[in-house]
Amino acid sequence: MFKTLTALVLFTLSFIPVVLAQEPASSSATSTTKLNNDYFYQLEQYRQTHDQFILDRGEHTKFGTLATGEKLVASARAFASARARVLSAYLFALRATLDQTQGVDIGDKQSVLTMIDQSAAGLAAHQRALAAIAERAPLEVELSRFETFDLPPFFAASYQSLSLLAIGRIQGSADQLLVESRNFESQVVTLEENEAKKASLSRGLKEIALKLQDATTSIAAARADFAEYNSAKQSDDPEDIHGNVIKALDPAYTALQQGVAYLIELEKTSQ
Amino acid sequence: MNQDSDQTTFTAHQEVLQAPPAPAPSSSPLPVQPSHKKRNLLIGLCLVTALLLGLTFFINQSPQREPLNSVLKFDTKTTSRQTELGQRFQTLKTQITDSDPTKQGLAPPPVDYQITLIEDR
Repeated sequence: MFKTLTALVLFTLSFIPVVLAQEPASSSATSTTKLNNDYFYQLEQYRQTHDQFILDRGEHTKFGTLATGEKLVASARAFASARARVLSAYLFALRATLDQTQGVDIGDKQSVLTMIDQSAAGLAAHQRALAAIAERAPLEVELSRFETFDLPPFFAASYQSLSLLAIGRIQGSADQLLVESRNFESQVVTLEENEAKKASLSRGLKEIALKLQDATTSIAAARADFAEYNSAKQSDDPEDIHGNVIKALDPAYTALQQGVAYLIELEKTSQ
Repeated sequence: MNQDSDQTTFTAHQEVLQAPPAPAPSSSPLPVQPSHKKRNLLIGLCLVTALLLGLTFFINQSPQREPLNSVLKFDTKTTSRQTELGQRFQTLKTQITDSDPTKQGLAPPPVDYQITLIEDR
């Protein structure tokens, strides 16, 4: 009995390293999930400070006393600080996602990651400045400075990241479609003995190649639109440039959907 | 000297042929077997085993882990019919659907980008 129990304990102990070893495999995915969760948590915190700020501002408008004025400054400071934390958490979540994305130009990716880091540093400096402010006038100055100098880099970094993510996802899908169609050709079409069937499958593959060509053209157009970020003037809205990138990618998306539908049909025909 | 060396006389000594004396019954009781000590040890081992099994189960069920039913989406009938290529193409189709550029996962946060301390009337 005693020996059996000892064996059972040792057997159980032997499984623990196996179970623990499975965890690090998805560490990058876990990290992205954690950053996304942090972003949503900060957004929730922001909403609470927003509600308090609206209440305090209404109260000060109604009574206009020194006490309500002080309360409003404290409330606005907490609200602005919560906003900066949300924006930082958003940038970090975006950064992690972009960092893992393939199918984008390395130079573009590195440039955008640097922009994100600079914007995050600006947000951190804004938070430090807010923490040192106790009066209304300097608070208003800091809020105005933030809108003029910190927000434009934030939007530029955000929209450039989103554009790159969209290009990367489409490019990744196009690459995968190319690989799968070539695999199909080498594994099925080349080995097909029935000549008529072989010719039919080859025609199908040519259709897929045309769709891939359409997708490549469309992705090239999107990359050209992305390059406009670098030549954009201060007055240009990065959201508009992002909209152009998305519009340019749409034909690629349609072509890839058609391409994979052909491939699935060909695979069924080959059976 | 002679008497000492006569070895035939030993049978005269009665105690040599007698059965060995029975051991005298001891007045003190035998030491008690540590049965409840052993039982406690066994219970302890059982508890440790249960704890380790529970720990293993807990680690295995961490919240980040994808639920089993979402990993095993396919049913056995379909799997038996589909070829490996077919399954890969279906995965690719899903990947392409997910890459829809109009669907953004992380749009900029919906916050007030302008904060004014004076209420708009």
